[in-house]
This record gives sequence, C-alpha cells and structure tokens, in this order.
Amino acid sequence: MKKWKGLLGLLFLLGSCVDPYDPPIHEKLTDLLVVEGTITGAGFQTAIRLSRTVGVQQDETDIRMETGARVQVESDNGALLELQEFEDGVYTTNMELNSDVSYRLLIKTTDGMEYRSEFAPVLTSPPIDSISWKQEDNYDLTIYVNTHDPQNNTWYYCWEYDEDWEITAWLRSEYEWDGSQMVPRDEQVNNINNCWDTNVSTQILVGNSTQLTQDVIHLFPIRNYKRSDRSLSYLYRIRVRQYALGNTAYQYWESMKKNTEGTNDLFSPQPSDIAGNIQCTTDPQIPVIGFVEAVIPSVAERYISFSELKGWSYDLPWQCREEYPSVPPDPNPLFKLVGINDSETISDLLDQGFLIISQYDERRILMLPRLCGDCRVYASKNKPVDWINDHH
Amino acid sequence: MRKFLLLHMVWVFCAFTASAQTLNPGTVTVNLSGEHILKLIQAIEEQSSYRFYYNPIDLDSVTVTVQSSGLPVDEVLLKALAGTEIRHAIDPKENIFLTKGYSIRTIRTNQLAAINDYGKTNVTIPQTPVTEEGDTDDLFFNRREVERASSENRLYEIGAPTGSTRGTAKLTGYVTDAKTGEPAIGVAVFTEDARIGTSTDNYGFYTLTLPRGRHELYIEGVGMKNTKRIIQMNNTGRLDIQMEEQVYSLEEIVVQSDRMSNIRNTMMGAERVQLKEVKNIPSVFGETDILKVVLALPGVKSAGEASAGFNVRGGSTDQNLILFNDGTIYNPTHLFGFFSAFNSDLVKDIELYKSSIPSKYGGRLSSVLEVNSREGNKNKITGSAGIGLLTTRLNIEGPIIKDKTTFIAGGRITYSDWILKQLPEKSGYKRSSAGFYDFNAQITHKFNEKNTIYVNGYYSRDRFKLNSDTLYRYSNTNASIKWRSLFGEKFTGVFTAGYDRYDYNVESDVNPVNAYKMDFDINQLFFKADLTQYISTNNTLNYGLNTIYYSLHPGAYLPNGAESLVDPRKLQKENALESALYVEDQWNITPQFSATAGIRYSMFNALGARTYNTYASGQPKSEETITGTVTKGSGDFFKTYGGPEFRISARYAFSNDFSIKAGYNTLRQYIHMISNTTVMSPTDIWKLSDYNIKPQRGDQMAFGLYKNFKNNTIEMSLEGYYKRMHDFLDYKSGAVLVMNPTLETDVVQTKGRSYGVELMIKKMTGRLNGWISYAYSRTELRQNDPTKGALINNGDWYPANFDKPHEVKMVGNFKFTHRFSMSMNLDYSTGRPITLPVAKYNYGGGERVYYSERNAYRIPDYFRVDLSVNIEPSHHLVLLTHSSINIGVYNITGRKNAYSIYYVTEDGKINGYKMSIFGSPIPYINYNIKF
Repeated sequence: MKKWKGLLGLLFLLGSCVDPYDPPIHEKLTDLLVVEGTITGAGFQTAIRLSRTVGVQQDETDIRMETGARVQVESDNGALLELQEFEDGVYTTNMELNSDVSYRLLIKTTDGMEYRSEFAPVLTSPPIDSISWKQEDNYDLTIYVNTHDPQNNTWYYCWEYDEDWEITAWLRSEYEWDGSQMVPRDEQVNNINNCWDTNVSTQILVGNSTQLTQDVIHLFPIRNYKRSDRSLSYLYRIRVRQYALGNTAYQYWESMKKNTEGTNDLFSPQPSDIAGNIQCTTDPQIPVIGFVEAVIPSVAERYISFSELKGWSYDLPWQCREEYPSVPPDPNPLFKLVGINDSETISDLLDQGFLIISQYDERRILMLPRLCGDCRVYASKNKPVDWINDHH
Repeated sequence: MRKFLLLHMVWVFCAFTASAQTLNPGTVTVNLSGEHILKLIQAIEEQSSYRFYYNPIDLDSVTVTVQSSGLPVDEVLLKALAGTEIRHAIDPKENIFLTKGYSIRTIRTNQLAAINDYGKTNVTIPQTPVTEEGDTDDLFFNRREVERASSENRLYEIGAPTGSTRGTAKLTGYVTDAKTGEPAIGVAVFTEDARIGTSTDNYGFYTLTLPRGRHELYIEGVGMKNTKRIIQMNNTGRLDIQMEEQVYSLEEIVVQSDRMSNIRNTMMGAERVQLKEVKNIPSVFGETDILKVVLALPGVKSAGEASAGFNVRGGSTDQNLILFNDGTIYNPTHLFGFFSAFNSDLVKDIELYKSSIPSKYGGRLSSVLEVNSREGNKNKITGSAGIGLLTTRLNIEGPIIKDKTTFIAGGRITYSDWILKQLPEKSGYKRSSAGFYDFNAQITHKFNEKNTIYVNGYYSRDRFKLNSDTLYRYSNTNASIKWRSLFGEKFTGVFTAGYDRYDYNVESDVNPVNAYKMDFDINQLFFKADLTQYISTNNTLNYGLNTIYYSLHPGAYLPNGAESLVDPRKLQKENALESALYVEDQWNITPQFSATAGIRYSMFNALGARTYNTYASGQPKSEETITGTVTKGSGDFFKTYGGPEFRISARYAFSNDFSIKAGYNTLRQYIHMISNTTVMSPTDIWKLSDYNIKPQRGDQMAFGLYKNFKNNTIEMSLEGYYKRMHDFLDYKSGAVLVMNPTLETDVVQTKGRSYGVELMIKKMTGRLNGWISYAYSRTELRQNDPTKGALINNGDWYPANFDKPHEVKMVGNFKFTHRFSMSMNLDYSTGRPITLPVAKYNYGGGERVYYSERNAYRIPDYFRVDLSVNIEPSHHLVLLTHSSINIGVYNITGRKNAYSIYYVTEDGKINGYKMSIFGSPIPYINYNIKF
C-alpha cells in the first residue's frame, strides 16, 4: 500500500536529487550483541550467528564476530542442547524439534554477560506452492513465490534464498598451448568455458496475508533482475527457504526493513527500533538486537535457462572485438592475430595474459585477453554439487 | 430609498461606473461632430442639472465629436474629451470642472472659491448637504439616510443636531471598494487622535464611538487610496464610505495588520494578508500560493518543501483549524503539497491567529487560519485567467441582480500528466499520472441594508497513480449558507450552517489476489451563531454558539475484483457532537488600556452506536490489557469531555505608536490526525476522541511589544510565548495506524511544550516594501509515564520533528516603475531534527542500522532565495483586458536543501543519502489576464 516511492520520479524531474551523505554522528553505541538465526530441525541445521554492532562510519570488516560464547537451546520441558562453534561467531547443531514444546536460546559470552530469548513455540511453514517468474514490458525479470496454508494458520512469512548460476565465457577458447604447440582444449579436465557463481539474499523479505480471507500469498516478489543481467545468461537456479513467523517477529523484521530499505520517500514514517525477543539477563538495560524463533522451513527451487528469456542479449566487450566501437571503427590493438608457428610471440602473449581463442584462418590464430575466453575471470569452477547438467 | 441610491451612484466619479443608466436624470443625448466644446456644455446644462466651471481660455479652440443617446454625463464627457487636453471632474453637487493639461480629483473649499472667479454664475460654496427623506421604518439610524460618502471636502453630518456638544455618539457603516462594490476588509478608520479608531470587519463594517463635534476621519487600507472624511458628529448615525483602489499599487507586498492597529488592537499574533498584495511573492511554479505566504510569516514552519501541513508556534500539523468561508478544510493542498487547495484568484484575504484566538473559534490547539473568498464584482461582469507551467485557472464574477445579488466562481485544473509522460521509459514512471482540479463559487444576496445572505460551495479533487500500481484519490467538499443581519444599531449577528467532507480512497489491482479498495471519510454538519453587541462606548460583547456533528468512517478495506481474496473489513463508524458556547467582552478601560476577556465552554460527546474496549488501569494499553468491551446504542453519549477555555488579552498604549500586550489562551482539541510521517500525507487518517483517546489540551501565554516608526510606516513587533500541550498524540515504535481497530494501543498521549520569541519589522508603503522576521523557537515533547507505554528517550524532553530554533525570513518588493517590479524571498532556518543511526550491524544478509535517541540530530540548515520580476504591460483603465507576466526563479542559489536523510542497504552494504526536493534553480513563467 505504501508505494510512495514512485513519487520520486516526479520529484527528480523537478530538480530533486539524492546525494550520498555521511552525517556527523558523534555518539557510538557499539558492541551491542546481535543474535541472528533460527532454531530449527527436520534435517535443517540450526545456525546461530553472534556479532557486535560497530559505528556507522566504520567499515564492514570492523563488524566483530562474537567467538568463544556458550550457546544453548533450552526447551520448556527442561532439555538443554549445546551448540558448537562451527566458524568464528557461528554456532551450529543438528537437532530435532518437538512441536509440543517451546524453545529458547541461552547465551553466555566471554565477557561473562548472559542473554536469553523468549520461549518460542515451534512453527512449521506450509510448503511453497511454486516459484514463478515474469518479464515486464521492458524485459526486466521478477521472480515470485506463491504459497498458501490450507489450515489458514500461518499468515506471516519470511523468505531467504540462495541462487547459483552457470555462466560461459564470452568466446570459447578452443585450443590450449602444451608448451610447444597448440592442441585442442580438453574440456573434461581444463574447461574454462563453463563457470558457476553463487549469491544469497541480502534483503529482508517478509510478507503477510492478514488482509485476506484465506492464508494465501500470491506472486510475492523476491528477486528482481534488470534486463540482460549476466546471472541469467546461461542457466540460473534460485532456492527459496520459507519460514513462518509469529506476529511480533514479523513486526520486528518489518521495522528493520523499513529502517534500511524504505525510508527514501516523502511520506516514510520516522525510523524507530522495536525490541526483539532477546534480553540481557545480567543487565536488562543493555539492548540486544535480534529475534530468535523455532521454525521448520519449507524449500523449493526453480531453474531458469537463457533460452526461456525474451529480449536478453549482450554486447561483446570491446576487448574481444576486432574493432573498437568508435566511428569510424579503429582496429583493436588487443585483437591479436598471430602466425600459427610463431611460438615466441604466442608464449609472450600467453605470459601477458592472453588466451588462444581459435584458428583465425589457415595461417593465423586469434589471441585475446583472458577476459574474453576464461570465465574464471568473473566466476569460479565451484560447481554446485546438485547441478542438473554434466558440465565440468 | 431607491431613488436616493440611484442618485448617489452618479456621484461616484470613477471612469468605470457605466452604471445607473435607466431613468437617470443625469443622462444626456447629444450629437456633435467637430463642434466647439461650448456646444456640448450647453447641451448638458440644458438636459441636466449639472453646472460647468472652467477657465474660458482653456477651451478656446477645443472641438469635440461625440454621439450619445441617454448616456451618463460622465461617460459622454469621457468620450468627448478623449484626444483633447481637457479633463473633467464631477463633484457630488453636480458641478463639473473642466481643466486643461491636468486633472483634479479633490477640490477643496478654497480652490472652489478660486474657480468661482472664472466667470460662471450661480456658484455656491458646498455646505452641509441637504439630507433626503429616508424610509420611515428605518428607525435606528435616526431617520437619516445612509450616505455613501465619497467626497473628502464635504462635511457630513452624522445624526440630527441635538444642540449638545458633550458626550459621545456611535458611528457605523460599511467601507466598500468604489470600483467593484466589494467590502473593504481590514481598513483602518480613525480620527486624528489615532487612539480612537477601528478597522473594518470581514464585511467592511465598522463601528466607532466618537465625541460629539467635528472630526477628520481617516480611512486607510492597503492597496487602497488613503482618504478622509470630515464629519460633524451630532448623534449616533451611519456613514458608508467608498474607497478607490490604488491602481498602481499591484506590486505591493504587505502583510497588513492594519496600520496602527497593531498598536491599538488587543489581539496578539494575528496576521492578515490581502491576496492582491502578495501576488508577486515568488513561488515554485509561479502561481500565487496562500499557504506559501503563510509560511513566510514568523512562527510558521513546515517540515519540508513538498509538505502539506504547517506548524504554528510548535503545534503539530493537525492543530490548525483551516476555514475556507467557514468550511473546515482537512487537506489544504494539491499534488503532494506543491499547490495549495485555494484558488488565489478568488481569495480576498487570509487571517492567521497564532496567539490570541478569538473565543468564537475553537477545536484546535495551535492556530486558526481563516481564508475568505472575495464577493463578486457588484458593477459588471469581469474575470481573470492565468496560465502556468502546470495549471490553468479561470474565474468570473459579476452582478446577477443589480445591487442585490452578485456571484463569483472560479476553477483550476492541472495538466501535470504531461510531465510524467515526458519521463523516459526506463524511469518506470511513464505510466504514472497525477492531477487535480478545484472549483468554488459564492453567491451574495443583499435583501436590504441590514440583511445579506452568502452561499458558498467548494469542491476539490486530487488523483494520482504512480507507476500504474496504486491509485490514490482525495477530495474536499464544503457547502455553507450564511446570513448576516444588523438587528439594531448596536447589534449584529451572523448565522452559518454548512456541511464539510473530506474523503480519500486508495485502489490497487496490480496483483489480482491482493487487489483492494480502501475508503476513508469525515463528514461534518455545523451550525454557528455569532452575535456582536456594542453595549457602550467602551464595551463590545461577542457571544454565540457553535456546534458540529461529526460522522467519520475510519476505514473500509474491500476486495477489488472477482479474483481478490481480500477480507472485507469495515472499522466502526465514529459519531460525535462538539458544541461550544462563548462570550467575550472587548473593554476599553481607558484610551490607553483595553482588554479582551472571553470564555468558551466546549463540550464533546462521543456518540454510539459503537463497541469499545476497556483496558486495565495503570498499565499501557495493549491487546493484552483489554479487560472487556462495552456496546452503546445509536445516539447514546458514551463519553463526554468538556471544560472552559479562557481567552484573555490586554494592551496598554504608551503613545500612538508604542504599546505592550499580554495574553493567555487555553484550547481543546477533539479530533486528531493520526500519522507517523513527518509531513501530512493524503492518506493520513483522522480520529475523534473517544472512550480511550482523550482530547488534547493546550494553553499559551504571550507577551509583546509593538512600536511603529516614521509616521507608522514601519512597524516593529516583538512577541514572546510559552505554550504547553497535554495529551498530545505520539506513536509507539512500529505502530500500525491504518485500518487498526484498536488504535489506542498504538498511540501514546504525551506532553509537549514550546516557547520562543518572534521579531518582525514591516514596511508597508513606498517603493521598497515587505518584511523581515527572526524567530527563536523550541518545541519539545516528553513521554515519561511508564503506565502509558515505553518511554521515549528515557522520559526526557526531546525535540519535536519540526523544532527549528533559528529562523530568518524576508519578503521584499522593489518597484522600479509602475509597471516593473522585483520581488525577493529569503528563507533560512536551522535544520529539523532527525533520528540517525548510532550503530550498524549485519543481519538478514545485509548491513542494518540501529537507531537510538529520537530526534537527536539535525539535517543541514535550510537556506533559499527566490527572485521574480513582475511586468504589468499596461495599466490603462479603459483597456478591455489587463495582463501581467511573472518571471522568476525559485531557489536561485540552487542550494541542495536536505529534505530527508536516510539509509538504504544496497547489495548488503549500508549507505547514507540526503534527498533534496528542489536541488537546482527552478525557473518559471506565469501569464495572467484580467478581463
């Protein structure tokens, strides 16, 4: 309902502008404990991430992970389970949830302070009905999630996703150099044409169906891509985890979202922080950031291949072209045509970071910067374990 | 009576009075072609009772050509003498004076004697005029006729001579604009001793008590030619005065609190602005905007440039009662606040009460802004039109029944859609649309000298749809009828009844499952009776009653389309009755010392049918502390609030140009705007006080010094105030305000205080005029009651969103020539408070910020200068149309004034931004035409 952002469009025309701004903030309320994670089960890993706040002007790398803490899950029937520190500040365990009891988190940090969350009943997310996508008139792409709870009992939802995509080099490097001569590339062992990349959601994605007669989420947008984004240039996959939320947890996320993702319009509410469900028992005056619930999520995934998309196209980078795109075109000095037997030049160019792309004509081969033929320049060879094709 | 009036019409020697043509003894039929002017004089003298005076040498070789059948003498002469050097002037005694090379207006007794030497016979020196016999039933004006006095040198006798020269007598009457017949409002009427004086009310009516004997009565109004009348006060009586508009004074920019009336009045913090004087204040799209003029006054602030509301002396935006011809306007703006809802062509004046609020007004804590539209031209059909970058406006006015009924009607429409259409495709806003229109009309019917009826109508509508997603619409509707009557010499009454409505709706159909419509409306029926009784020389009593019946639909959320799964919900209707009785006495204790004391008893009844929740006492209201529900039937009073409000002010004048004033006011407010945004938005809801939400209460103490310099041409005022607010509405963090059936659990009733000093220097006359003001003001809020909810800022005082301590405003106009002037605006203020994050952290895959103390920081200071050049191509009175052009630049320095500071997580990283709305100079051009 609060789609006021569009107003900015009008304002820009009137000479309005938005500039980066670093206000002078003197007070620094740092070192507040930040607790993020969900108590979960049913084969999902419970991972609790502990960190500390830093001043607004500090670099992200200054965010300190809280290591060496003792983190436990307690149920209201008295059972205690200790989490192990999996990596700096991330405490994990694999446990089973009993939907008849409530769970809470107990934390003791190395400075002796103790914290605990409120008891949270186990919520189970209904299955995701589908992940769908649609291209707008301008070919921008939006990915949506659809779900419903037949029991009409969930109403508040939160989503996270991770996405993987396979990407190919601009031009296929058909040959490699065995030190003395050009040989056809063995793509089983030395494939630089197919790479993969991965990403996780960075936005807070919460939605509700409380205004409706049925607990239905229809076409909730979770990811948006501008036309011709390279992530969708070959094969793309999104995996969505859906969490059920309690009413107060939903409000907590919503408030956090408004504070950092929606205050840029004319009629935005004043920013404010609402308290989470974690308290410092040693000193209740100290604010603690975070909301911990016990939820069994549901997951779904969807592949999108390049061939399904309309209007998705790319221009070859200028480095890989025969001519500059200037008027009139100038020859591109990086477009190297080398005699097939000119080993000296070939190895010089290889040392300078050039690749053999293909045989240009009977006598010459084409060499171009790595960018043009090696997908490892912008992605990696870390192929997701369950990827649906056999590319190497 | 009728005959008499007709006769007087001829006396008006304005070139535009092509009136009173029928059966007029002053008309003549002539047919001359190139003949000597003496033939014309002869013909007129034969056909009428006019007599000519002239120097024969002047007319020596003057020939005239004129055809006329039954035209008034004035018009015949105007035609005949066009192209000659001869000018004519007619006085009320039907004497016509011809002069060569110059024109005369006022003829003093001694001049007349001199003219007498020039050869014509039967000259009589003007004497006390013979009075005609009036209506015998005209009891209280002492059987004397109402004089529409237009001569400065004539002696007007008021009342029949009693032989007594002792004691005082009362003089009443109307001051009107000679050209249009409209009442001249706020005109100062005073004697040489400036301490006896008054100013005309909204109907041009004045009452003055004077010692018996001879007086020179001065009449001065902004935009009008100063004039005077010589009167002989014999007894109580009446004198209607016509004033001429100062034709070449259109560039004047003056906030008029009536020359010297700032010294004389007991009122504090009252500002009247006449619209024709502020037409040239530069505004963002070149269109005169009365709300922007209000914002140029000291003590009035707004959160930002594109904001609808304004804050007066630390009050919130909903604490201003905005009355447009008595109708309450809930949303005074169009198009996101860029335009005000009032068509400036139809507005006569605005009056802002920010300190001493007259007892007849109530229901809001901070101020009353009265916007009055003009009455239609009484003499002829005229109109005006204006074309700007975004809007076009047209208005037309004139008489319906001669001397009885006039109308004025106007409308505006935008073509802002084209701007959105110009946006590039990839901006995504190409499918957006936005626009508004408004229309208002007024009919005034004068039954007789004592009874007048005014019928008003106003309708405005806005719509905008951004990126073809959600459609917003809102509208104001007002209709009222007002009867004003003079019951007796000392007793006037105004009775008003009307209907006001504000509604908005929001529609979305982009997602068929979630498609919805949301509606909100406020309806009110009101009745007011305001009576004024002139008890004695020194006492004027105002009393009356107001009542408003509210019917408010706080929200309906309905499915939009067959596929929609939206759960139809309607919040319970709110009904209430707000009533008040008041009495106020203006008492001149001595010529130096006067006081106004008023008491207003207001009462609010929340009415059924309704079910409401009860909450455990001593605990914050929340879903958990609901103890039960109570249901009341239709028409039941389920909660009554009320109490006395005091309105007291006094002034002591040390001299004619120096006075001090002090005042104390208490106020109550029963309807509240529920919004947690900084500025007013069209989708803010209003809420009536009810079982759980108490009325807001406030009081204000003020003290002021007023000093005029240079023969009252420069006014200086210094006012200080201290104000308290109780049960001011603030919101809990994360409050849900729209479609919330238990709104009381999301609001906190807090305390507020504000204090400040305002210094203003005004110069109203001369080539350079305008004002400069400085204000220091603070507004702070506090929530320190843990039983009401979470403490804000540990229960300490914290600055309100619109707390801007230092503020300098300047509005000026310099007239180079009569046709060419330049205007400048300057606005500086401390940046408003904002809540900034004090820490950041990583959560949900990205950086987040942590906010702590509310409003602990400020955005950068605000500074803006606007310039405009105003060209009036021609002022010739006989031209059919008059046009003017304004060219200007808004924000000429291009300073990027911050509107807001905000933080966004982009690709997981937090970035701070500053948004400016008008970050560059905005040029504009406006073309206005009057016909």
